Amino acid sequence: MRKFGARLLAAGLMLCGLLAACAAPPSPVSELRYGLTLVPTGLDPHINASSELGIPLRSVYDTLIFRDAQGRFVPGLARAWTISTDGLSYTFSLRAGVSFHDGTPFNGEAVRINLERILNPETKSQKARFMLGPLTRVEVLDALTVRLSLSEPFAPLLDALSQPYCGMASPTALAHWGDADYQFHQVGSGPYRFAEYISGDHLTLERNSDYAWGPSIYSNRKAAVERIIFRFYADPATRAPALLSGEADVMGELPPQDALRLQQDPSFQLMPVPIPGQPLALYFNTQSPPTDDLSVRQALIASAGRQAIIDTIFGGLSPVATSPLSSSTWGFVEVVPSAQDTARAETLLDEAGWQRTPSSEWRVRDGTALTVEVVIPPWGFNPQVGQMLEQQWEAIGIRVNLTQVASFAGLREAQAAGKYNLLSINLSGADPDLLRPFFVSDGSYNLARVADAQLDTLFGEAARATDPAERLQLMAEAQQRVAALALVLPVRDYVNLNVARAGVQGLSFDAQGWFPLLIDVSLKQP
Amino acid sequence: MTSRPSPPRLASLMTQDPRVRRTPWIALAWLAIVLLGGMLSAGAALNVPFESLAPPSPIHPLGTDLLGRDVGLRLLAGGLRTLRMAAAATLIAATLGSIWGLVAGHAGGWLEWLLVHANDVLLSVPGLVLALVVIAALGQHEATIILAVGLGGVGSYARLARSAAAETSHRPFVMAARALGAGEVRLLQHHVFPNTLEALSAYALLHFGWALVNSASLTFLGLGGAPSIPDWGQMLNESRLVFLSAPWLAAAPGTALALTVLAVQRLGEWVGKP
Amino acid sequence: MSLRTFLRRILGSLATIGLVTTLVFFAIRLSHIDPLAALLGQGLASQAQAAEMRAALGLDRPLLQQYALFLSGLVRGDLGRSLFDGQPVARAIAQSMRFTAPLALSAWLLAIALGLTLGSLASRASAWEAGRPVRWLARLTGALLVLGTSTPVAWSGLLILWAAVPLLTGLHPGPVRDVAQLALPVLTLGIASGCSLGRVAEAGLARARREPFFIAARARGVGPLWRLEWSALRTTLAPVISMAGVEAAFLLGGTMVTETLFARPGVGRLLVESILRGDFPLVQAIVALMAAGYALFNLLADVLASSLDPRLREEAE
Repeated sequence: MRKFGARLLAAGLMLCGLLAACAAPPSPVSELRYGLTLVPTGLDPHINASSELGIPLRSVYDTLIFRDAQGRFVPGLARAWTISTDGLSYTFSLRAGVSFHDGTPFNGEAVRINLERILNPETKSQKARFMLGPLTRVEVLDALTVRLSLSEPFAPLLDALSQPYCGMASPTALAHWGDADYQFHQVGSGPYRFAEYISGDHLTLERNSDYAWGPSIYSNRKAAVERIIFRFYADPATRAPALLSGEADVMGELPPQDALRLQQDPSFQLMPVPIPGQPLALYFNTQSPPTDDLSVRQALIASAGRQAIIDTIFGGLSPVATSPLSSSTWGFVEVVPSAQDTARAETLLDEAGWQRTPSSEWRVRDGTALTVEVVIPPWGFNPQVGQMLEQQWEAIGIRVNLTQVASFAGLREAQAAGKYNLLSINLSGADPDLLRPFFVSDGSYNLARVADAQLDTLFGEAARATDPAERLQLMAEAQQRVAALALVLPVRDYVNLNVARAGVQGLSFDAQGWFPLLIDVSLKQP
Repeated sequence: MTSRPSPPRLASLMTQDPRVRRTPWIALAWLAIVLLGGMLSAGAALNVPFESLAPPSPIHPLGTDLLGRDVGLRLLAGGLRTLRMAAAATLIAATLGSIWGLVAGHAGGWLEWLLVHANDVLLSVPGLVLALVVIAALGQHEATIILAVGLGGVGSYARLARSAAAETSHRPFVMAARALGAGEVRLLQHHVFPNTLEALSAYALLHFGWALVNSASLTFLGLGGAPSIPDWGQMLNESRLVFLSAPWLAAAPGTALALTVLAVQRLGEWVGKP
Repeated sequence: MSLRTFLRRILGSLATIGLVTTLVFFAIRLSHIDPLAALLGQGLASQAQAAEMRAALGLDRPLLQQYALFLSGLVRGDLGRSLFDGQPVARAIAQSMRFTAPLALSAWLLAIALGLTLGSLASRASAWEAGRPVRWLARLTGALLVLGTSTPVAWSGLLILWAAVPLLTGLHPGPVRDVAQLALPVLTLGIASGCSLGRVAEAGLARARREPFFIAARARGVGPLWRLEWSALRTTLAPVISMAGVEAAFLLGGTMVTETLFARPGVGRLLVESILRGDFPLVQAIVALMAAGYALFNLLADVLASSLDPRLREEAE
């Protein structure tokens, strides 16, 4: 039966060739290859929450309104809008003549279907639902007018409606594919149509040549690049090689050392973009000793050399964070001075009874060494930041146990178990309301395990205040209160280090910082 | 990295080579350096920062890493941890594998059938994959990595032990002891085990190299759990982030790992020579 | 290998894979990681939502009942959906296989070719009839083989990656580029695996050169040099290829590291990521797949070896 073996072998070899052929995509002309950094859990903007998904989807969907670079709201699919004086009702007049990529016309009914999809508990929205807050009812007044009714005033609503998470999708496609599969077959009305998504591998967008209703934040009326292919480079070390070898034209979140190197290379351009939201920050557990003691928390903050961390790890490319909000966020006030003050830290610890003794490397009180448990995720240079903090704190006699968990799941698990003194989690977003779940007593991200009546009131009132000036005032007070309680050690304002080939022109980012305005990108062939 | 099974066949073929009969002085010296260096560096301050990413110089012979720590010191301390993990893993594999294989080979009958087939199930999953499953089940700690790599190696060890035991069990002196009324446990303990010891210990050294690379692979993949305790796999992983600016950071743990595996392999061949 | 032996081998492998899947199913549920944390983590989903999802996925039921559900799904050909991104497990694996299958198979074939060539060269180190330059070259190859077997692929892959970056820069997107990108991880794995096969071949060939048949053939002067070499090589071909079956375990494990290094979304990386995320349905399917892949490589190796060496054929039958 020798022949049988030979045939089997031949079949195997053919299969191998076939598979190799499948893996090779065709190469078109005007194509941009864009490197994404995190594989999102899902890509449905109404359901999923990753900030990565907005990078491609910002250009697939139009939103009712847009936010310009200064943070002002400008018309999008809504020509104009009015807000009732009690802040409970928003009326939008919609643009006529807009159609989705599948030909379905855009109208008031489409707005109602989209927003009700997000509100419907069956949809299990992880982000958009929360962004819409107390929105209760969507009424279609006529074909091109809709009214949104709220149960209480909610300032962040306009920001929510300007984000791709509340993008307007074709009602036909939503109904056809259902919640589980819509993410693979998305249909919007934006400058690019969603062509193909292979989870974890690539996502392809193709130019929508019928696009004629772009908001004023877009410089181009029509997209210049015909096709954009997004690929995932989850491992930071693979990003610079992908750019250098010509595998990708644009890439975000370059490791700072690589970004600085590529900046010196004339065939690349570095575009650092500050990301509004939270800085890289560690939250103190106020329930677990020794960080249940205010002076220990203050000492840990004072002895952290944040400027040294920025210089060493981030190549000086990001500012030191001085608040639970990053400095590019609307409503930011500086509340945690950036200077390192080890003398003050030592005094605070001495006064709190944590004394240096000749017999031990560590400060001791009642026979126990001063030990803090630090839990960090593997991304965003958290391990390096954790190790530098470890160096700095060990220098003043604080023992540090640094634990690295593998995933977001691990962080949430540590949060639930409560066995940490400091934990690092950060989210991004242009609206300061994102701090609320972190500091109100029943918040889902209450890592500090704090229950402070003043914080609850301040954050609650800030969310209801529709007057921007009043809101700014409340947010400032909230940040000051957080700093007074020493609930958080802010380290570094997030700056997204984007690097593009020199031939990529016109790349800019929206108010959220993460999302590129792809319609304005053009390619100069080398 | 390798999850190379180093099966008995490889060992037996290689010992034919006349080169392996010479005493491996260089290999022994290298292992002594790694061990002694690791012990001496145990008390040193590994976390003291100097200039970030300094190239090799007389003060820092292997340069410094991103956080300004001396790479040479971390290499020495990391070597000890890497060796310790591999040694513990080998011990687990050798103990479990030997018992499994000896019992199977000596017992025969249905017990052998059962154990052999159970072992086939274990062997049907590549060692590194098996190790990952163990880590998935038990979490990421040094102890889990040891257990994971150890269990990943049990299969091939058991197979070797079984064939050695099966052969010994049929030799006249064992049969004679049984005829004289020795119990089965006693037979295994006093007659079968001592006679397979040589083959098993030679294989342990070959297996040690495998365990070394696999435990480093797991920490390389970021499963070590403790970033501030140095380890060669982890150092190799960290170095990738700054490879463009400081390639020497990758060279140190990469070369050290290769040399150590080489030395251990050489030692194994020498011990296993006929 | 006869058709009957072949079928028996396949049945045996299927039974083993079934057992492996069962073991993994239970082992992984010992895990302390909450699989839903990943799903909910990036958003602000409430506890009530989490409980609802848990119920929908059957994660709140007793273990044995979950296992029964899993088996009944398996019988219907339904491997379930990923807990992470909700796509069917079969689709996720099929997509990543497009990257891993060409990598593993090409690396395996490269390893066999490289192993035989380098092994045959290195085996001439002590062949006194060879000239001095040949002996030196052979010795150098021997040293390279030893170095190759002990260099971890995380290190060699890093070197290959950075060495290739300037070479790839000039290539435009297209088939040539894709092949070049596939070549890097193939080289990394193929060289590492080829070196260890090379050592087996070297040892076998060195022994063959001392055998009477070889010495006699050389004394008789059997035609051109390649025929002489072939007569020695034939005797070692079968063990080298059987060994290559065992080496497949190394290749499959190695894909985890190389796919991470070269940013290829293949099965190896999918496994590492799924484990980190606690994505149980994917983990158990991939482990079963790796076991199946390993069995396939071994079968392939045995078919190859038995078609090369008549003695093995008789043994098997």
